[in-house]
Amino acid sequence: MLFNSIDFAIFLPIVFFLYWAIRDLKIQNLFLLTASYVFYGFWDWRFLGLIFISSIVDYLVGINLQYAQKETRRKALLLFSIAINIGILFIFKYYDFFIENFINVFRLFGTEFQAKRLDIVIPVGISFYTFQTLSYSIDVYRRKITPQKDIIAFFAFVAFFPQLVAGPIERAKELLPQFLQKRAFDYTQAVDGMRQILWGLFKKMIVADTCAYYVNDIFAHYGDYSGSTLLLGGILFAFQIYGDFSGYSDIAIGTARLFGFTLMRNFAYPYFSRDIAEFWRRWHISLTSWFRDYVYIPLGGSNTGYLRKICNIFIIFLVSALWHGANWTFIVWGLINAFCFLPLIFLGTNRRNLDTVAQNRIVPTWHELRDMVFTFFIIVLGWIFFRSENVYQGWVVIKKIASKGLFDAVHEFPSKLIVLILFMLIFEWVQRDKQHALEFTPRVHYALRYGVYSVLVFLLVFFTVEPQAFIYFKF
Amino acid sequence: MNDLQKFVSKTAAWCVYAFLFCVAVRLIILSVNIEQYPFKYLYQYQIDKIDKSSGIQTVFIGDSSLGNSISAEEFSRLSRTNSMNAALTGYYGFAGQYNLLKRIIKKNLQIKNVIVMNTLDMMGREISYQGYLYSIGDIQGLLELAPREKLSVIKALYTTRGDVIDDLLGLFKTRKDNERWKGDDYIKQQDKKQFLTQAKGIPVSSIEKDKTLFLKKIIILCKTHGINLLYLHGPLWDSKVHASSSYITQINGILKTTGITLIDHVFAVPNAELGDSADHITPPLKAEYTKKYYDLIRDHLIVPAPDNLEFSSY
Repeated sequence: MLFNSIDFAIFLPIVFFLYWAIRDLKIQNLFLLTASYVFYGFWDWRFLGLIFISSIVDYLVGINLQYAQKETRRKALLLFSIAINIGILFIFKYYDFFIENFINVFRLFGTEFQAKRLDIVIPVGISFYTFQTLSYSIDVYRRKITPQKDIIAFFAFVAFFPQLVAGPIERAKELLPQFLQKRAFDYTQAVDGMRQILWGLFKKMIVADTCAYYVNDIFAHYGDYSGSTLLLGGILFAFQIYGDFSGYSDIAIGTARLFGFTLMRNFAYPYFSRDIAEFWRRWHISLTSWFRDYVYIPLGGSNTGYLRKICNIFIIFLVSALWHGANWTFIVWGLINAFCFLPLIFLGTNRRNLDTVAQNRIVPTWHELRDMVFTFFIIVLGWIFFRSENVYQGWVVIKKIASKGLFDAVHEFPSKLIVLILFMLIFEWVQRDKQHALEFTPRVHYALRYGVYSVLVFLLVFFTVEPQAFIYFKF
Repeated sequence: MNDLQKFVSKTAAWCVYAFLFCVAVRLIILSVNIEQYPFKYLYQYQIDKIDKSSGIQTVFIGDSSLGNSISAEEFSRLSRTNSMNAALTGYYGFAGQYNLLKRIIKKNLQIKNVIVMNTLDMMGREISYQGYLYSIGDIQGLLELAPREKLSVIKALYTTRGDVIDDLLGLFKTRKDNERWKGDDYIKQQDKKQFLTQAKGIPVSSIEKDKTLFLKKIIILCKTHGINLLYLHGPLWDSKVHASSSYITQINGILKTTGITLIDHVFAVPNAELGDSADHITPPLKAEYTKKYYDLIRDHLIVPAPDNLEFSSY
């Protein structure tokens, strides 16, 4: 079920009313679990089994970890959880990719490697819920949290529908306790949640889906278009993927708030970043912090020698790239980001920009503006490979952008879309110290607030194009 | 009232507000005529003709099969009545034709004959509430409808939203009249289409039961003003006509039940005489087909005694 569908517009109010009509916490959790499975089952009920397996394995591993005294047994239990979760992920997401590449490598050496592709559909959101349950097992193993005995609460935590298919990837330490305490309806939270949903819908249905219309055409005919049009395609894809994914996250967080849950922030206005390190602190925060906590820091993080540090940076970007999908384009995208990240590590400036840009000022300084624009174009460079069907296509696009064609007239300038993107950017710029762009303080005059809501509703009703599936569903 | 009730009532109020707000904006856009709806140029062209017209005695309303086969000038000459061809397209349906006829009658009270002419598969299309919406004229047009019809027109406000942003931006642009579309008193035809294969008949199952809703309004309108009303089928590719005999029998039966004077002959047009569609006569034969149609209906026309020997056409 898509957030931007009629199905969800019917599903959400029904679940909302029934949920708050239930007084008993356990029944409320059971209802949430059922609703979450229905939500997921709308896409393909057969894959509910995978969520069930992930949930039951980590639930049992958690319980057993509590009683296991010997370190070897604890390690074995953790490895079992990792093997099952990563194993499922591998089969569904990576098996074909590796098999294909093995065949190609063997062929290079004149040997035929016989193996069959599985050609199976990737279950929606598999990377998200796998990482969520995995973090639970690791945290229990590390004794950071106590294992959860309430099986319904645990299953509901894994399958919680607002964030089941595209995050934010929640930590058990933060989300699980919320299933165990009595939840009271909070008017302020719910109203703010609705605002966040509205902003998310705007970013997804207006900005991202309209960008998709142009981006799909430009990348499908990349051979026919000049460098300027291809650059425009790259820039529009940057806004498409941002509107798509951050829009989804806003809807997810806003929806969770309607049910009395607080999810972690997933985006913090990443295109206002002044360097690539700041970008990665602001983009897909739940995944970046997951890799930081469960991969980068255990590898030694930044507190090691130069060589090890470089190695760690590449590992983190490589796994991040592979998390997105089994394609060389993602690996190139990861490498571009790693190469751009390294100078900051060497210069020790990777934590230079921890604050919000132009704090307490309306306009940025020229330096800040220059840094933001420069960072944005580096990111666009990476996105071009991310969006391309294969590395060759990405390379051709980059080559054409770097040619004289960059100064040709753009094939079709999407002036309306640019106005909408500017509207989004200006709004987010003004609200950049807030959790989301529609988080208004009572100081903001109600006429202005209602004016903004009205414009957004108007755009949602009258400007939506052909709805597109969320990009991150396939991850 | 607890927090939950307050939230639900506020959200409900918001939804109502949002709905009304969108309807209001849409109506404003429609009323200031900045929306680029389908075939707007044609619709505006016919409105301009109506506004300039006077003394019309015979008027044709219908779809593109009419627009491509009847020359008002030729018909005026043949029938010795001041004639007007106010053809729209199938997109507007009977609903749009009804609104247009109201305008024509308002301007030309002496009308004697109204001839409705549509292609055969018109009876298989859904009621065109969007056509009604775009030709509504004033709020009276909405108020005169039954509640269910009103809702359908309001629904069309959403389903035919088009590109509202473009329309709003258009407010700040100087619009140039686009004359490129205009052919012989109608939309200029594209290249001739070749019909080489055997046509499939129009299925009987496609007939819309409620399709005559606005045709019945046309009938009442003409009755109220004492106007002679005829219904004609537009010309159609012969292969398709021969394959659609059951369908034709069925729709003739339905049309007869409305009480309209139906001239049930269908001109089956050979491939060579077709233009860019199976129901569009090639432009050079427009006058010839006007004559054919005149011969078909001449005995049903009311022809007043001429004031002079000059007849105007629109």
